[in-house]
Amino acid sequence: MKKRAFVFFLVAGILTSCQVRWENATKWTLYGYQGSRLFKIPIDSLKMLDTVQLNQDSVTSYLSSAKVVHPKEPFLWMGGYVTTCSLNGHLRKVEFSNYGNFFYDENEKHYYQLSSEKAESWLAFVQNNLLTLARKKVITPPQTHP
Amino acid sequence: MNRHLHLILPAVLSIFLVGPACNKQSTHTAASRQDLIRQALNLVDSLSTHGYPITYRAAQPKTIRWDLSQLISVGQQQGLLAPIVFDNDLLIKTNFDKNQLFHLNYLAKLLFFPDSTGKNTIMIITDFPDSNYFNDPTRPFTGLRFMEDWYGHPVQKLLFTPEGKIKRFTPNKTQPTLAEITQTCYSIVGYNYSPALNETYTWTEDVGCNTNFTDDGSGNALGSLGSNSPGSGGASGASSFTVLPGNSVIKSIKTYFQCFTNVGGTDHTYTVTVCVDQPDPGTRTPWSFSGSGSSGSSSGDNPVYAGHAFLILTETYGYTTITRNVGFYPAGNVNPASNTSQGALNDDETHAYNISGSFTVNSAQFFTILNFISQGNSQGYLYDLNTNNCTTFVINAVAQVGITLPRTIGTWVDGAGNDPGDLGEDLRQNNITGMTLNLSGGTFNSHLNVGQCN
Repeated sequence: MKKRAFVFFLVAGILTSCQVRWENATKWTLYGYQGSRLFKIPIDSLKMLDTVQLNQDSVTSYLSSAKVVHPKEPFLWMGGYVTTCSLNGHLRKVEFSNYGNFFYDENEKHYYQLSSEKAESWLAFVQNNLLTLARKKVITPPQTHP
Repeated sequence: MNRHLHLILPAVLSIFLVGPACNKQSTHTAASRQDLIRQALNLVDSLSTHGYPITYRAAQPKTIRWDLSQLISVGQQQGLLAPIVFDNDLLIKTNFDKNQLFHLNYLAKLLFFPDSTGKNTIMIITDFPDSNYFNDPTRPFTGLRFMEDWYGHPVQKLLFTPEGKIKRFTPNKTQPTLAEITQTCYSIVGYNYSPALNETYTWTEDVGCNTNFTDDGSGNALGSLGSNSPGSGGASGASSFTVLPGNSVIKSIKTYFQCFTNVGGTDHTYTVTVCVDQPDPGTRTPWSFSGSGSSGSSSGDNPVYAGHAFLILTETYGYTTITRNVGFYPAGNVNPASNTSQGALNDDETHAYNISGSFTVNSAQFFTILNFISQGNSQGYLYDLNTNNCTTFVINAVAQVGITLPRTIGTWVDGAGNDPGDLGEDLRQNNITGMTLNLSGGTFNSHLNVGQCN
């Protein structure tokens, strides 16, 4: 019996340790992009995009209850928000879906889900931040091709 | 009212271009002042029952302090300048005055004047001072001056610079040159605090960037301004004056669409644009796999990008443009194994797309499409990855008015249906009657919602 309990708590501990503690993440940055290259933009190329800092307290409030999920088939992305954060001194790229309540951590290649009650408010929060960025109307120079 | 503005605008501007410091006290009799107040009251009553405000500020209940009004000269005529007191506590801050908070009551005034033909006109004049003026209000006014009609339609926006120049807003100025790219953009944030509810409503107004303001030169400013006044047949193009605060999920589609007006005739133009964000631009690929996962893998944790299709709806009349972006989504998470969910309409104004096709429709067709779209939020109206996804929804919406888009079926693991990859290529490859094809697409800030009346 004791062995079973030990194994149970060991497995539970390992699973828990796999889940990122998003409340510890800081410097949440939202990038001015929402389209098909969502996952294809390398993290070191994001600096080319316009950015806005997300309010730390708000993000922490939303993400503190996020749970890791392993869907049998992939969630479908129809657009999303590109963000980065700093966690344990490392920069991580995280994409948030623009519908539903899921997001993706590229570092661990894991999906997370927000509680469904927070989903609509979360989407409004991120969208409002992206709109703030969009309204700055920063115009980038036209691309020149050799 | 607008068609008469060109007759008097140069004279009005001659007052306001020189700034508040030059306003003179009237020496006219109380009788003429009372007469003007009576005429102004009649006009306000008439305007209040014959139109609808298009901006949040214009829609706010307010009292015109006629008792504090001043007589001023407007060209050869006498006019009235009256303070405005809003019923609600409206606070304003701008990004060009160190985010100082101003009470809107102190910034806004009503100008009433009869033009040279005798037609009475009302303008709302709102001054947003910059930090220079705030630091030393004894100097001539510097900042932004809005001149709007009673309903909030912009008549003119002027930028008073510290160098003493007066620049006029040109909404459809061409793309800035490389030399102008380091630009400053102006924005205004308003707060409406309701003590009863202990809530604050916030709105934002996008005023444009310094590259939108052109120097008319102090010598010929009046002439050029006058020639571009509304109704002059001069410059056309809509002002991107207001942008709705965004919510990704559209809670009330009726409210979201309420700015659109169903007017027959030719002075209102309606456009429907089908926008497609292909998962792999330029191909019919229905889904693309993440660059971070194993290529082509459909394992559970590997992101799959399905793309998206949505609509941009635009109504244009005079100097006014109303734009709304809308797309159909599942309310919950979907994948091929769980392919249905309650449908939901989302605001797609920041969604990039790589190809689009636009159709000009009449008012009846436009509202037929709006009615079709409105069902997207109805309880029980389902999103189905195979049979009623975002692409199907867009195709069906325009089909309501006889616009036939190809319904190419794509296939994927465990499913098949319309898809953005195929729709994008169908727009590109088919010469669809009445469609204006755009191969440049749109970015996250190129098709924002415009026009506020909610």
